[in-house]
Amino acid sequence: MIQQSDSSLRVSFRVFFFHQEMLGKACLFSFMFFLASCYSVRLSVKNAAATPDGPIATEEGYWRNKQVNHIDTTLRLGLMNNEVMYLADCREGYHTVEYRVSLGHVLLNAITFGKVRKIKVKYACVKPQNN
Amino acid sequence: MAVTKSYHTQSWNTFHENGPFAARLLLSTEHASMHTIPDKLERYNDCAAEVRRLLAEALSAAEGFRAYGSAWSMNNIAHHKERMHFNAMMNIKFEIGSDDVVNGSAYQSNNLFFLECGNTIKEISGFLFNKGKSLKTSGASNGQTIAGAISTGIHGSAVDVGSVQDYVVGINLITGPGPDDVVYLERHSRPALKDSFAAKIKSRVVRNDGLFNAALVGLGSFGFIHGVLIEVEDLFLLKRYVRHISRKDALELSESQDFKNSDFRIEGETDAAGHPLKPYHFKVYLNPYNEQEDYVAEVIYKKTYTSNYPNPIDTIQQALYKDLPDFIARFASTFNRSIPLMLKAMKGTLFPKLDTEVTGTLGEIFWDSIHKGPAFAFTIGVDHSQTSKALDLFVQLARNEGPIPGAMALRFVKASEATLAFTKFPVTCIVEMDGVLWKGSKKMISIEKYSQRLIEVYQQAGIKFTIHWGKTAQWSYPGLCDYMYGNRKTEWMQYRSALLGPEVAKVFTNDFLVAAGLAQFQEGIAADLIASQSVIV
Ligand SMILES: Cc1cc2nc3c(=O)[nH]c(=O)nc-3n(C[C@H](O)[C@H](O)[C@H](O)COP(=O)(O)OP(=O)(O)OC[C@H]3O[C@@H](n4cnc5c(N)ncnc54)[C@H](O)[C@@H]3O)c2cc1C
Repeated sequence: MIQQSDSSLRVSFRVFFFHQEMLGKACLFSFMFFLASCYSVRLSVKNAAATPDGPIATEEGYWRNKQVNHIDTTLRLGLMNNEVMYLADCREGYHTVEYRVSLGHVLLNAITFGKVRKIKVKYACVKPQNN
Repeated sequence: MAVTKSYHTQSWNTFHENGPFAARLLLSTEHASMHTIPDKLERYNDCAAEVRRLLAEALSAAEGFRAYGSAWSMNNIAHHKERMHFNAMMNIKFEIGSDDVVNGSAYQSNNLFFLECGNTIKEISGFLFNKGKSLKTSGASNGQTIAGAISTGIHGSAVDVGSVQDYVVGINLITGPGPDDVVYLERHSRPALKDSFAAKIKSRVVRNDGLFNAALVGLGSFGFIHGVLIEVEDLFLLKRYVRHISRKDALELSESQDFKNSDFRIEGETDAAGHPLKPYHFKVYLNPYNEQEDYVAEVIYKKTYTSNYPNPIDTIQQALYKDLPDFIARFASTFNRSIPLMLKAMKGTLFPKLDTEVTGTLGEIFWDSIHKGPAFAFTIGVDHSQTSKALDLFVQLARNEGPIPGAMALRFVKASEATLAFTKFPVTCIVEMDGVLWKGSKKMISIEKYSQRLIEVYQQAGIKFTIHWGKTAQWSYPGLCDYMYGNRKTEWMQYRSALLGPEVAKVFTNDFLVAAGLAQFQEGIAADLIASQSVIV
């Protein structure tokens, strides 16, 4: 009896641990998925300075002292249309362009079968050389 | 026409958030567009007229006016509570033709460039690269403007070169609202440009060694620096090594500067007899909290330029020992900037791995610095023969009255001729600590108290020292500038007073200058002190 209950206890513990393991794996998986699907890619030029952000620095980290522009929009794409173009007013070209993808963007894309896309781009222009 | 935008604000801060400081009006002047005024000389002169107009406004409002560059100085030297002017968009660059150079001048026209104040070191390096030229030296990174850089006297660790102001050969100052207040300054003993060049930039010429040397490290208080003439050299490459070095070797080398007879050597960097070569740059990193840990040396040799070398930027971006603020910020970020965790970790190993060898131009090796939060920097200059003593005092203070969250480095710079250059010793050893800005508490000394203790400890030990004008210090410490500069302090104030006159001197005075005891107007200075003198060629 005791043995039985002991073994059933062991079984239920095993099930519990199994569930917990699954849950853990699921969590880990979603965490990794979340991490993997939240990323940014930054493209920058080598030999130019960025346009400074004016008399008061408002940005932190990489973007400090750079004038930052944002494109933050949601696009509806037609069946035949999978290209978008933005014209930025960078007189002497782009200094840095950062494209960011988050879990929300991926989900939105999946739910709408790719028809609705969230675009999040951050960029800085090359500092005008006045020369 | 150049346009000045006004920003009304309540506070302003530095790049490394050493404030905030109360501020009211921030101004930023941009050139007329190139299609409106295509000629860049005309655009430069148009901008000078705009700065004169801004000075007229400040004078009539009886308010102060302070120009600033990238706000990289880590104290309030670039700050004024009334009017501040952000120069970054003023970045025209001129080549100098042989017709512009004084006959018999020591300078070659193709090595001279006239740069407007807001050009950053990075921009200048990029521009010069396309001409096959290079700056002679820079700081460890490249974000400073040229006017900001010389105004505090920035340095790297190029042992035989000097600081950035040491390759400046002409300064174009705006000292007031009138057309006659635009001055082109040079040394009379080393003239570079003809009066006809000064006429092109609508300036009156003053050739006077004393005035030039005083204005060179002007602390933002010698008028508005509109442009500077610099001497550059042919493009060269730098080969950078990072190696462990024993404390003994590091300090012996620091004090002797005798690389040839040192036990510290880098394979391949020796002469025909097998003696180590003197490097272009020698810098030492050390952990003040772990006596057992070896120091790390960054050693750089100058090489002839060839375009055939691998792109160094990836390696440089990953390099740990390129810039002390960067190094410590990265270290701190691994502890989420927690000061107790950082301090605990520093008792262990701070320098676990070394950087790989890399070759690049000056502009590539001394690359961008990334902001990683509020930071402090103590930078003290001593004669290199005093390195061990000065270092030990610093380290003892950090251990006994700290700890405080910073790592240390030693750099070496040849003497500057500028009257108030902190690199004033024949070879100045820069003893520096950079770290994460902290708040004092019952358990931890405050940064203000620590700054004061540093001065006291050095003075009590009888060490002659200076402090970097753009770094953390208790600038109001009584008699500090007298101790550091003796008669040079009065000399500097006399030249400043004579050039600016009482009203304009007030406009260019800020809290920093007052705290440092340098603001007092000097009456009754003979006019010939600042007179142009006959050139010696
Ligand atoms: C990440 C980092 C790394 C650093 N590395 C080094 C280094 O390796 N070596 C070193 O020596 N220092 C270093 N420093 C300190 C810094 O380089 C100096 O404080 C430098 O003066 C800052 O230049 P800036 O253009 O930002 O000038 P600011 O800090 O904006 O101004 C400095 C001074 O210049 C004056 N000024 C600026 N423009 C004008 C003008 N047009 N006319 C008159 N006055 C003017 C200002 O009024 C002020 O007095 C570093 C700082 C940081 C933040």
